[in-house]
Amino acid sequence: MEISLENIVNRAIKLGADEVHVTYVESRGYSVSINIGEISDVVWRHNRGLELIVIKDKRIGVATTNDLSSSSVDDLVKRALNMASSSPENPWWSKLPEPKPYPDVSGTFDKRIDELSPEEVIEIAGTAMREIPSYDKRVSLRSGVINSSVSKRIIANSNGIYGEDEGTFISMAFIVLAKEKEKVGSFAIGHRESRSLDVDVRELSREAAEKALASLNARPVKSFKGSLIMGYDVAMQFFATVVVAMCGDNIWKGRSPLANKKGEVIAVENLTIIDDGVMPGGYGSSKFDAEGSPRRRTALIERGELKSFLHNTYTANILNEEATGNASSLLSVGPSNIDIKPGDYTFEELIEDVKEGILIERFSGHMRFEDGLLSGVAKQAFKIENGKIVYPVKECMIFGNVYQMLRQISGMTKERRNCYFVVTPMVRVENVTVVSK
Amino acid sequence: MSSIKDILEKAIELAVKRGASFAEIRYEVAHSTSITIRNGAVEASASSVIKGLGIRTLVNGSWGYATIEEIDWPLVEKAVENAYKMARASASLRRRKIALAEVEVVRDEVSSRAKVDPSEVPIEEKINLFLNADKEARRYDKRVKDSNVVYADSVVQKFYMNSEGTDISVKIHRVRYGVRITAREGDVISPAYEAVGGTKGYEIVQEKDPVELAIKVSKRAVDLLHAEVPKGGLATAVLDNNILALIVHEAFGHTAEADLVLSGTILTNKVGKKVASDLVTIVDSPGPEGAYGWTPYDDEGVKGRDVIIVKNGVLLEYMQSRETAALMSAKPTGNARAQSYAYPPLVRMRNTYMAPGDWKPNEIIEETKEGIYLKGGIGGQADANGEFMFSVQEAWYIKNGSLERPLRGVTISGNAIEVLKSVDAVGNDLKLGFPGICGKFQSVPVDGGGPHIRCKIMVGGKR
Repeated sequence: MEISLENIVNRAIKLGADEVHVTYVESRGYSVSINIGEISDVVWRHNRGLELIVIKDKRIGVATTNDLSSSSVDDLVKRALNMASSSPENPWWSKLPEPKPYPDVSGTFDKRIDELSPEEVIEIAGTAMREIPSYDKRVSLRSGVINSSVSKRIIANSNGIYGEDEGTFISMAFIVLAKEKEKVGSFAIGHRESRSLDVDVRELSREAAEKALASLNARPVKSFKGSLIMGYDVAMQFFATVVVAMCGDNIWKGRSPLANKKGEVIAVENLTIIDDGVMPGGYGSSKFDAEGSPRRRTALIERGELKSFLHNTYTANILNEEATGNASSLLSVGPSNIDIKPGDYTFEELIEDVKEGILIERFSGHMRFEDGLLSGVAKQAFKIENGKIVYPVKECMIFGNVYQMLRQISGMTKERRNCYFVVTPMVRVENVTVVSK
Repeated sequence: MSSIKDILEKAIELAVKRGASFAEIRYEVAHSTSITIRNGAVEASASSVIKGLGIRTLVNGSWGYATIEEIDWPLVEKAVENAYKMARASASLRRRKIALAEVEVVRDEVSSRAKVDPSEVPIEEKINLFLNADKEARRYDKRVKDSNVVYADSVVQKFYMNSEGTDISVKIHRVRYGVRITAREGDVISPAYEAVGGTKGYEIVQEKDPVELAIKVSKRAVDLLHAEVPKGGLATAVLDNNILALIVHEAFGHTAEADLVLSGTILTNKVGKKVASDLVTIVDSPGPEGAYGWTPYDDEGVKGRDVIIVKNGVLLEYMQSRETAALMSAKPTGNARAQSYAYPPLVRMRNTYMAPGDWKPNEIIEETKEGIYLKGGIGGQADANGEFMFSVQEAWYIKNGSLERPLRGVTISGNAIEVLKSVDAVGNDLKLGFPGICGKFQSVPVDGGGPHIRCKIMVGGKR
């Protein structure tokens, strides 16, 4: 790269900034879309961009560009300074982070992704396009997407922070539908996200086809109150909602009902949740966060007890806590990888104990961290009676409260799945209201 | 700009020489400003300058697309080569070759009209105005616990060229702002939201005062704190322009986008069939000028025209791209839109609305013995089979033709076709101007609207 971030920092300081933070991101990769069983688009992209943040008298100014010519970079510095001087003072601003050593994170760069050819990426789509319909005549691949990228991030600030991180990503999702005569099942989504090319596309295709097929001949369900088993994707949504309520900005602003609960038991004893920014091969793993603080592990819930919140330097200073390497920007906070400790059930055992319940593989609706409201439509759902899955269920409504549900978890599987940045078991919760639609 | 145009022309020539049967290129320069204010503080604001190009090639009946941001000839050459290679590789897996419906070759330059170019308004003025709106929203009542004001403007210069000789430049000014308020009292949470926007200049903030809008949204959130939760069930409902816009776009409009129609929606194979009551006419339009989804030419260089999706209850036509039009033996409609140069276009809506009827809106309510008046939506979901569920912002119980008491936490669900078939009154008060960012894989600005209508809808209540 011809641009020196240190020069940009120095120029902004010279022009009057108190503090400067600059990020350069460059990424290259492919994106393949499948529609109605055919490849509809193949895209190769090469993007890059600069974000400059300057702070002057506690006023923050942000400017971005993807034009790296020297005149454009000059303009970038001027625009950022102008944004800062035009903005009101942020009374809570203290300072940018200081340099700290960065961890070594393994499994986040796979040369094979970096070197993928157009033909190889397209062949991934080809595999799914062949495998899914060959699983069963009734199954078809409706749409899908495969994304691969290699992304480089360089960061510098006026306190002397300088970091470079390069990572690879591959993700794919296939939407599969089963049809038999006039009957159409609820579509199933099979997806994988990984930092390495070790994704078994055949296994994923089979799994998605199997799921789609299972939901054929769905029947309506009568309203009841009983056990809810959250499939991996639903459990991911559930725990992601809980973790948003532990983010420092939501704690500070009083938006989170967990704000005053540190040290309290808020969940069943066998629930442990860790934010792990250095998880080997984690989809959200990196050396440093968006402000340049090192990534690390932070226990959020340990054996049911609320242990800690997530912070960037900004929210940590306001609440007098420690930054946890969770800056998603200088002012906002987000999780890295969410690691839910496994339970001790097999999937069969989780079902066995259920008198009346429902297994949900896909959920569409709200999970609101502000008050825990969970309401929406169960898709890809299955009725459980007396320890057995008895039939697929037509869309029905689910009502509950996320925070109450944390105390009503009655079992989790040993097996876990990586869903985006969440590693989660399947989770069984009691006393959930299911309403026929 | 001539040097850039030379590069674009050269890239198209190269693609054709390499073996593409068709090539098109889009180059864009976007200047934008965004301001996010939350509870009195500027949470994020940024000034951004982004430029780049995307080239699409058709080789052996398959697409390849490459996008770059450094407009330097060796990299442009590489992009052309990659677009060509990807198209060729995916052609080996295709059963059906892509063809393009014919369109006129166009050479044109158009621009939206902005009295006040937003990029020339000092950022300080914008920040102060919206900080004030946020302050007034919270000052309205102590129970306003969370306020969120978002402002965004952009000036985008787009160039389009293809190997058929079409050469178009479109300049679009866009301004949009929205206010989201949460009021809270005890355990009751009441959200409210409203947005204003158009392909106009900064004069929008003079036409629709952000402070007034913020107070209006706060009032709505607070007023609903003491409203009742309704009983569930099938109800006679009067829908306002805003919630109708949401249903028309999300639950119905998407099912008339040709790419989705091809993959199977509730409107597949229904042209010429009755899909709504006689009173219902639904249109997707490239205009009017100033609408947030204004699209004089789409991202395939096709001049936009009105698509009469439904006329007097009968399905007439779908929204098309050149590719879907060829496949369905239809005419392109100018609905191929991309989020930016970085994405290939998809079939997308523009400004979608239900045409007006002859009822006065107050008469619809007066003529309703028992029912529910639904105003504005605040989130939800819809599927290709027309099934939807939306949360309603504001609702009133109608008894003997008058609004008796407010209701909160109302959700509506059902099937778009069934709802549209049940329409028995359509108002004469067409209103467009419910700007949004539609997120079908890519984000594009859209607008929508309609009059007041009456129909039957499933109502649910939640706490």
